[in-house]
Amino acid sequence: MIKRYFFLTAVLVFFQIKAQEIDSLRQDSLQYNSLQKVVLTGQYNRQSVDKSVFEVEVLSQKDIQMLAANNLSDVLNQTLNMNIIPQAGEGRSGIRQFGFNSEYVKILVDNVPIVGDEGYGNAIDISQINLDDIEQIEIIEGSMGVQYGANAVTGVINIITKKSGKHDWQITPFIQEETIGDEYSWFDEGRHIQSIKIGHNFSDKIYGNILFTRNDFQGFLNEKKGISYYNPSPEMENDSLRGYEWLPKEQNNVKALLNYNDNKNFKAFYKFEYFNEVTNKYANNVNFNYNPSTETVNPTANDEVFTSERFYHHLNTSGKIKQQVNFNISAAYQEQIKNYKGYSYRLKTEEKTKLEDYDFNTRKGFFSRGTFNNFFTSKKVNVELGYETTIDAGTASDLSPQNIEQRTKNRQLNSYSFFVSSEIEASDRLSIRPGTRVIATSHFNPAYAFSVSAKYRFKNNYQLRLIGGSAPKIPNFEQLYFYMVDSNHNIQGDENLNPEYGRSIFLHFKKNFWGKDYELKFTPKLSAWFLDVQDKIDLVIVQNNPLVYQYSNIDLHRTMGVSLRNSISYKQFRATAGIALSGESKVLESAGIYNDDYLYAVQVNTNISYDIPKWNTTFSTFFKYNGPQQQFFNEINEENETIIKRGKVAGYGWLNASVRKTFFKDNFEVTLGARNMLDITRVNTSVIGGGAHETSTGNQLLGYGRSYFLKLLYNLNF
Amino acid sequence: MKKQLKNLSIFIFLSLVLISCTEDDSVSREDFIVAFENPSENFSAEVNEINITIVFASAAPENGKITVTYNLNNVEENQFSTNPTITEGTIVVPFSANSEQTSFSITKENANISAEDPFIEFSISEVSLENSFPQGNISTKVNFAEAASLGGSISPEIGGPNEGNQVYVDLSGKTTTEVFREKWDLGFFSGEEFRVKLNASLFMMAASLGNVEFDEVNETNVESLQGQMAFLVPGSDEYVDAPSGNINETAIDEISITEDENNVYLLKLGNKVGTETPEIGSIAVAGEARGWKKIQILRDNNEYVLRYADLNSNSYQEITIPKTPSHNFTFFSFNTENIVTVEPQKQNWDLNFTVFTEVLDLPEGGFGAYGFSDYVSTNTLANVEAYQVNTSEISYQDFSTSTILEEKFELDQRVIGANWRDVFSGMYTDRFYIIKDTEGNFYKLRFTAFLNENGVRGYPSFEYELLN
Repeated sequence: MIKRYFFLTAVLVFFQIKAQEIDSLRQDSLQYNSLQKVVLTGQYNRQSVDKSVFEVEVLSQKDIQMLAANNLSDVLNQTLNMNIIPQAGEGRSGIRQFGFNSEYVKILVDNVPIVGDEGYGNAIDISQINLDDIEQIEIIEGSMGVQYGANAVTGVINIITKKSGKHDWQITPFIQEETIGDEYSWFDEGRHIQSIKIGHNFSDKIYGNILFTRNDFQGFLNEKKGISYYNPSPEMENDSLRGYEWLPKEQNNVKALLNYNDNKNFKAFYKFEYFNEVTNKYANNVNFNYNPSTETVNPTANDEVFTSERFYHHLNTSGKIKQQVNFNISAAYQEQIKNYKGYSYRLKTEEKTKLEDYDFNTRKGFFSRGTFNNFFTSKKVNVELGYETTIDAGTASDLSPQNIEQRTKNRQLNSYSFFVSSEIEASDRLSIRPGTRVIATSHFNPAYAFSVSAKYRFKNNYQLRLIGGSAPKIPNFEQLYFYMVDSNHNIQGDENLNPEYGRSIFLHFKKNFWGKDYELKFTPKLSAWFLDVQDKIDLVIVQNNPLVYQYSNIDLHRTMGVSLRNSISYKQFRATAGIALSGESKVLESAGIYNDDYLYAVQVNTNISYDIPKWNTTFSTFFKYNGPQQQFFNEINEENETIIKRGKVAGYGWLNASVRKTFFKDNFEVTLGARNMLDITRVNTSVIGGGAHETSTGNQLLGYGRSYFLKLLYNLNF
Repeated sequence: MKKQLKNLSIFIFLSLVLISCTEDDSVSREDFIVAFENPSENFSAEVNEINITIVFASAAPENGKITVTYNLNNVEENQFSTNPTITEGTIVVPFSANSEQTSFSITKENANISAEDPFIEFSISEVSLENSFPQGNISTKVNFAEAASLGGSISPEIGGPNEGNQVYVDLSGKTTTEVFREKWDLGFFSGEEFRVKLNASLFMMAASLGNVEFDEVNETNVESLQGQMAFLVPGSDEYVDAPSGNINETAIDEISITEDENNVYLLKLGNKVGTETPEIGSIAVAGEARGWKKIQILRDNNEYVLRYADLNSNSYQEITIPKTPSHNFTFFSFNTENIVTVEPQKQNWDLNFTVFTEVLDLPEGGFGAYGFSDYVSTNTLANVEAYQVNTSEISYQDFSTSTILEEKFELDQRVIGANWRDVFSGMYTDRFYIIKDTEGNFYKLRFTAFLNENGVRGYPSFEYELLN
């Protein structure tokens, strides 16, 4: 406690130092540069948002700074049509886009999909994606199979990293302290982040940087009582109160970049990343090990440690061949190792005995992607050719609960794609971009993806975009290879499954309105969409006597909706406000009985920020509201019939606010803020499933309550 | 530049303040608790020396001594000796650091004590270490004549997560007998009726094929029936013995003296004992399938005649199987093609820990067979009765002879069954059982473990106490 006061005093001292130097502050760094947003995702070459045929949403570095976001889940929970689904009991965070899970959205870093539990860019734990070297995050909604291949079904999230520095040397250490709900102490509670980044321009052509970040999350106890707890009642009844509500974990991240730019026709960069995460899962119940002779207990708990390691190497070259053809080639090698260790922990003596140790999910492989365009000098037509190769080998978890060899068996999937698209300037108002891709794999029949996009600029500068696309979704290892057959069960994967097939069509209508002197800018955008996934895989009963389950291509999921997104900026004030109404419908042939009515839900997001240049201070708030969601669930009535009922998950909002202030000619930055100000931990749900081995819950865990953060960052530039 | 460096050093200083700090924990020493392992021990005709074990709740922190005193009841000082020997009315038992138990022995010197109810009661009076005391079984009763065990704790060795053993437990004798589950296939009833039971621990099933020619049965003409003979299939309850243990409700009909009335049966041999090591906390009781047989059972006066063959075989084997009056059943194995010893004598066991075939009320309607692990059946054929008590009515500690409700006893081997355990959270701590054993003793019994210390399935323990 004393130390906490000391820290606050130290912060106040800084504010006083600032007061003496206020006159010498420069303001230009706070100029907002959103007017020239440039995007990369889905483009032939970098270009401005307004010129892009695709509708790209950009989360800027400033947004990330104001959220003091340290991983991807901290920013995406403010994005429309997305939900972050924390799996607090596993220490993971998944993502849902348009109601589809993270196997349907593809996550890329610098256009290269990152290795995940189910292949490249797929089923990524977004709480493992560190944002300390990020330029911006680009999001495209809709199926992008032509541009990004399989599994880019509901959309693409492309994280663009920084590749240059303005100064000769740039040394940036920062520390960030966060409370977790109302839990905080120097070591055993809260979140503690330390980071340092060093950037250097070796010459006017070569830039390099190296970054280290440690993120120590001490978990969230909430109602739980920690590691040493067991129910002391003489009945020796387990009360599930041991351990943590959110698992503690520590992440260490090293990144390095070397960038070469000859300032003419050739660029290259090499990027390396090493990521390590250790998550401790403490059993909620103990074995009492009652000794009837002495009437004493000697509790032990089956604790687990999950260690994730990820290596990322990415070499990229781009430029022009013979002053004409643009090329951009990436080659990446990535590796992910997820290790499981099981321990028996003796609570009284704090002894740990290792029981099990194996890698439960490893993925490694090679990825290469190349694009070539501008083959001939025409202002009207540009053609892009591209290839993509992935070699993806690995094991998947949970393939057979009874057999460790099955669980850790290595499988490999190679895929080779070729794609072509063309951008046609039909007139100075209309541009069209058709494209197609063929995907050949070592396992499935060839799959195809198509896209056609059109952009029309009306006379009064209204822009209309119509974007259609498709993408296959490759079955995951569980669906292909799961095996659990014993005297009571028969559940099997099917190696002959086909890829699922996603299609989408989006319509965007927008205009930039400018006020006098260009100080006011207002951009409303109206969008509408339809997206469906056919042949969706689910478990079905293939034989009744005896009962046999198998994965099968059987279902159809559909979603459609409309949204209105507005952004406005006036002098030092800027704001965005969006609202989306979307409906989901599921044709569940797998269940035999289903209701495919569309279920609608509303999402609202808004962000307001205000700069006070005189104080070098920015105030900002972010708010996202996820309206109540309906879901169908099955129940067995008194006549032993399965009936379908509508349940509801209550609505909830994420409200964040922060103040960021710079000192000493912007060399020192302080960001102070609060996350989850509405103090959301759980939301009520009346969706209760009733299977033989399922348990019903009355609420869903979403957050760890209102938390505060303080980030101190120093820029040493020379 | 200089100023920047100065500012940077302030920043670094602050960072160090944030990340440098030490924790110091001091671990307080646990109490050292000791007790007799068992509340009672028996001399018998065969046993003249007993080792009396004193167990510790935790490993001994250092060397020490336990002082034991005693009281005699109808036993003379010269009728026994101990090691270490008695000095000044006490026995001083040493123990060493890190040990988890110690012991002393008592030898019966005069084999014939005619007095009524002769016993010695030993008590722990002192432990030499600081913060140490006896708790639980602070005394133990050594009976010089045969007497029902006062109880204690038993950990039947059912064999870990494969649960390869059936374990027969005799409460009054405090003994266990392990039998590998694959040792036998059919049990021929030794009582009045002519009945044959299946080895439910292997998930065996039997379906009547009617009065057909034995040799005409083959794989082709039983194929559709085989599909029905599986767990969770509605109607599969027909092919298993009644889980209640009622001998008149076996899957195979009563064997008739009239040869024609004895149908041919399709026999599913179930599964071998599992050999895989499952995830910690899970089980792998069922191994590979053991195949099928066709059988017909006949009577030759007071003996059974088993006729058996592989499904496609045109010939068969026959074996005569007599009743064994001292036991519930005579057991036969297809592996040895002979009679095998399985159960102890029928009066010498009360409980059987086993994998078991139950019948479930299926959610989609009808009944079906289903395999259960960690099952505990009672010896109903020797009239062992039992009932379950909920701790909301009375606690295990408070339950005594006076709270026994005779009308609650059930003659059904499922009373304990799998009701004592919950595969998700372990044991139910809100219930215990009252058992009336084969000799008419009443015991209260509660389960104390479902998993071992490392969380592995297949390591049950229970404690029990004689009610008198």
